[in-house]
Amino acid sequence: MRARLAPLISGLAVIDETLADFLQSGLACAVATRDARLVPDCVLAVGVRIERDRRHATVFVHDTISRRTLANLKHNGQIAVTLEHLPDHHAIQLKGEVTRVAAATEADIADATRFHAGFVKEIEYVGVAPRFSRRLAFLPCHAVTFRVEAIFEQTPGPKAGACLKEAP
Amino acid sequence: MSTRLSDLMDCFQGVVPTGIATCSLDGRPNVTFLSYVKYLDERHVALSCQFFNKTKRNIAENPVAAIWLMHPVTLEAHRLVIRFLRSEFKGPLFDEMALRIDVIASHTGMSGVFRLLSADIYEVLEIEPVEGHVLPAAEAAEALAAPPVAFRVKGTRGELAALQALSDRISRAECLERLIDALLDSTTELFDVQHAMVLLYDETRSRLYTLDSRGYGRGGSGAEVGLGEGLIGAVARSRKPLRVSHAGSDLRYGRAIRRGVEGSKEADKLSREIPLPGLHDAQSQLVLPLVARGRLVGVLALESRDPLKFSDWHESFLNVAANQAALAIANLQEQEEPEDARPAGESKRLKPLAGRKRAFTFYPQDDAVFVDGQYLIRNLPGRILWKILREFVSGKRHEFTNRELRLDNALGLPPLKDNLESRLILLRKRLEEKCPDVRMVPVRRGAFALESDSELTLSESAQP
Repeated sequence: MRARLAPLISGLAVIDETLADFLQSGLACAVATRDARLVPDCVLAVGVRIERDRRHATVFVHDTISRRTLANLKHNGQIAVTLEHLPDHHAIQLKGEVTRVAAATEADIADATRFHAGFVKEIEYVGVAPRFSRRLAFLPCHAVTFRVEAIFEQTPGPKAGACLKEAP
Repeated sequence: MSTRLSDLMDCFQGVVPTGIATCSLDGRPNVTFLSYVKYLDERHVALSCQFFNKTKRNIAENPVAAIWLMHPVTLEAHRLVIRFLRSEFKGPLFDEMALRIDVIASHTGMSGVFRLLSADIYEVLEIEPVEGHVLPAAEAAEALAAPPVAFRVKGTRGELAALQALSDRISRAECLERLIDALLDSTTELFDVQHAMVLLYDETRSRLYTLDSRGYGRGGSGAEVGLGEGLIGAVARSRKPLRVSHAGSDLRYGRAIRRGVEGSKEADKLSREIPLPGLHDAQSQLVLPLVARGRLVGVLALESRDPLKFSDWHESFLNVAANQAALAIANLQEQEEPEDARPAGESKRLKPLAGRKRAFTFYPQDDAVFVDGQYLIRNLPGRILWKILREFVSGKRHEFTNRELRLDNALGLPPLKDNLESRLILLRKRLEEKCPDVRMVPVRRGAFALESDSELTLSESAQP
């Protein structure tokens, strides 16, 4: 069973282990970027890996559907990623600036495969039949690493959007 | 645009998450998941605003947003680029969107705390199918090719034939009980809906009571809902139809918000969560108000375990039937049924079978009647039952007329719109469900006999 998030996050300087476990548990993951005219783009991503320094995260995006996302990131590097546990809508948003974009390595693909399997379970929980959920494509993918500048509560409700931690 | 917005209707039902991305003027993107996107026309959608959040602030600075939509069955995706036009704070669209929020709030004990602030209208600038999001499969095409409604009436004009059949059955009904039967049987048979119930409105108590149902087994008659309570109560209060395609998701969404409110200064305004009526695992519901000449008569509620059972089309189509049924119910309620002139007491009184006994207890505090320790009925139908049971047991008589019940001041029937017939139907059904060996049998128009296969004993108790 997942722990409640907000009390565990507040006051942390970096992404702590509990939050990292939550973010890497196979959730619905959406990525926002924007172009030079400030037109935003939204894409469903595979999942997020929290890096060892707990200040960087890597989000995996499916190449075929994320061309606009990758182009936007190449232009300005601004990224927002929201991860939501569909059964109870607990959600967190990470915002930051991209430091590295590269085709996924074998280790990346292993992580992405695990996140994708978790998301498939989530979406089946809300009623999608396995014969359709198992058709979701996620390979080949890119690994997009970004410096986490701010963490926001994103669970629907009066506290949604509250900044839980901003990088110094 | 090669893809029309109306081609994406199923994607708007909120079964799977919809993402929305915005961007502030300083170039920082933001992304969150939406619970609901409402289709307005081929170029416009509406989003509901319950909190003044970052999405709303970004839109105030930079009115363009991107939406990621997925089909709830096949997961095929579309990307929409939209531009904010205006917020509406009243009017038909606001009321319609507020009703959905009110239902979630009512079910999760957040009435007055969680509410619609505005209906935000956006122009759709681009619709782009996202190629490659799902692997191709014949199954997807197969699922999409299925007709939205499985009509039991076959033919080139199956839907019109179904409506005509329903209309004919309603028109031919001679009494309220046959009318409710016609409405429920037609809905379930012709429209392939397994679970349906009719609730009538009791104006004197501002409550709805279940008169009859299909698909719930025995024991559903008499269940009550307060005006404004839950999905059915909210529809009754607003007198507008409501369709919920993902009841489980709505409740999870409501509970997530409630947890947030629990830790806020508004926590003391929360009340208990109201259990859903009918199916505990219903995934879609269509609730239609029965309104005649501007007066609320009742509610027709349909449920399914299929999250996509009801479409826009069902809502419009069945609303036509509901309107006709409402008029017919109102007509039957308002006209006092002509009574046969023969005096009461001509039918033969049955003798109880040896060894069978029933003990009825009356609780005057809330006019409740229990049989063998089990709750049977209360309020006005409870008083009626107690009157006829007493006269039956005392040996005086076993036949009763509607007219004498109306004239009995002790029963306290309202002078106008007394709904006596619907209360007698409810009483008869409750007896059928709880003690079928005691029956109310129509003997002629406006009169009925009480029959019992059991020996009856009566007692009154002041203790609830």
